[in-house]
Amino acid sequence: MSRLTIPLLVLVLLFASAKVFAASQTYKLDPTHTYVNFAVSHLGFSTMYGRFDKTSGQFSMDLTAKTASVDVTIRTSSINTGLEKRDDHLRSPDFFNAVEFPVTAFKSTAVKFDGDAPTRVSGNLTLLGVTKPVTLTIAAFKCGVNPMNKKTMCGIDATASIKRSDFGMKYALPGVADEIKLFIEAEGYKN
Amino acid sequence: MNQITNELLAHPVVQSIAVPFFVALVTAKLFSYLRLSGLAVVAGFCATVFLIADFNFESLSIVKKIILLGLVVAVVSPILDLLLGNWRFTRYLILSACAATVLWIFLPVLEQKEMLEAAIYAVAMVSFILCLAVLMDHLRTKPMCAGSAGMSLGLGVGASALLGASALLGQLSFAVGMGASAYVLLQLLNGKPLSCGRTFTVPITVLCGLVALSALILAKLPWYCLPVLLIVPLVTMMPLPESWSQHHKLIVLLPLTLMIGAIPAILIWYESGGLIL
Repeated sequence: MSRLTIPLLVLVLLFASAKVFAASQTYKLDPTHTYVNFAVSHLGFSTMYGRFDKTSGQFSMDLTAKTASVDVTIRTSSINTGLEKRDDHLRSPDFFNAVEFPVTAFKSTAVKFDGDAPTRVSGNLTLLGVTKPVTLTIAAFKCGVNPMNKKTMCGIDATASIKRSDFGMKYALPGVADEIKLFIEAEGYKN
Repeated sequence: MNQITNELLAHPVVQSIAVPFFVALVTAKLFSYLRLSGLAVVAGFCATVFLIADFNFESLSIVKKIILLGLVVAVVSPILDLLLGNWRFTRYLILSACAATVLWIFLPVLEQKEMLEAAIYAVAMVSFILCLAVLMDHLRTKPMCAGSAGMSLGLGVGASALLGASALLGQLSFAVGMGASAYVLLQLLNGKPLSCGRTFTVPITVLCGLVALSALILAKLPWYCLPVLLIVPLVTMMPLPESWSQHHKLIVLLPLTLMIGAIPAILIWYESGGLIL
C-alpha cells in the first residue's frame, strides 16, 4: 500500500497541474492587428480621429475560473493622425510628451465576465507619469482558430473614455476637448 | 460676464502676452522702492503658469521642473543680490547651480539614450547654459542692456519653441519676454534705469535657457538655434558712444537684439513651413 502512495500522489499532482495550465491561457498581442484608436472633438466643430501604430502586450484568461488579466504598452511616439506636422505637435510637451514619456501602459485589476466572454476590464492607465483607473467595455470577443495560419487566437473590440486633464494634459482646453474616446482593436495568439 | 472673462483668459495672447506684461509692470513699479524690480520677470512667468498650467507637481515632468525652478529663482535671486552681492564666488555658485540644474532636469531623457549620445547632449546643454549664465551675469549692472537682452531672449525663445512644435514652452518663454518688456518700458517711461542685479539676470538665464533646451530635447528646435540665441546678450555688450543717453542706447540695442532673437524662429519657419492650429 505504502509503495503505491507516492506514485499515486505524483499522478494526482500531475493531473492537477495540467488542469491549471490548461485553464489559464496566455495570449501575446499581435502588433499588426492591435491598434488603439482615438477620437477627440476639435474646437467643437468636428471629431478628429487618430491611432497609435505601435502597441504590445499580452492577456491571460481562465475561462473556468472566469478570471483574466491584461497588460498593454503603447508607444506614444507612434501616434498617427495622417498629418506629420500635427503628429509632431501631439508628440510635444503640449500633449503626449513622447520623448520624456515614451510609453503609456494599461494594467488590468479586475475583469468581469458574462458567460464565457469578458465584458468589462477595470485597470490602471499610466499616461504622462500619472496613473488613474480606467474601465474598458468589451463590445466584441471571439476565440478560435485562425483559418489562415491555423493558430489559436482571440480577438477583442473594446471602448473606453478618459479625461486627458486627469493626466495633466491640459493644453488647448476646452477647444480640443477634454474627453478622449478610445476604440481598441486587438488580436492575440495563444502562447 | 463671467463667461466672457473666462474666454478672454483662455486666449493664448492674453495668457502669455497681456497678463504677464501687466503683472510684471505692476511688480517692477512696486518693487522699485526695494530695488528689486527684476522680480518683474518671475512675476510675469508665474502669472502665465497660473493661467495655462498649474502649480501641481504630482508628476514632476521636465516642464513642471522648469515651473518649480521659476518659483525657486524668485526666492533665491534676490538673496544673491541682497546677501551675496559682493561675494566674489557668487558667479561660480550660479554657474555650478545652472549646470547641476540642467543635469537634474534632463536626466530622465538622457537615461533613455546611449552612453555616448547622452554624454554629448549633456556636455552641449551644460555648455549652452553656462555661456548664457556668464553673458547675462555680465549685464547685471547694466539695466538697459539686460532688459533689452531679456526681452529679446524671452520673445525669441518663445517664438522658436512655438514653431518648434510646443505652444506650451512658447507661452512660458513669451511670458518671460513680456516680463522683461515691462521692465524695459518702465525704464523708458521713467527716463532712468531701474535696479537690475541678479534678481533680473538669473531668472532670464534659468527660464529662457531651460525652455530653449526643452524645446531642443522634447520638441523640434534645431540645435543651431542655440548659438544664435547666445548672440543676443553678447550684442548688448558692443561699445556705444558714452555721450549717448540711455534712451538712445536702448533705441539702438532693442531692435538689434530683437532681430537676432527672431533669427531662430525665422529659420524654423522656413524649415517646418509654419503652424498647425
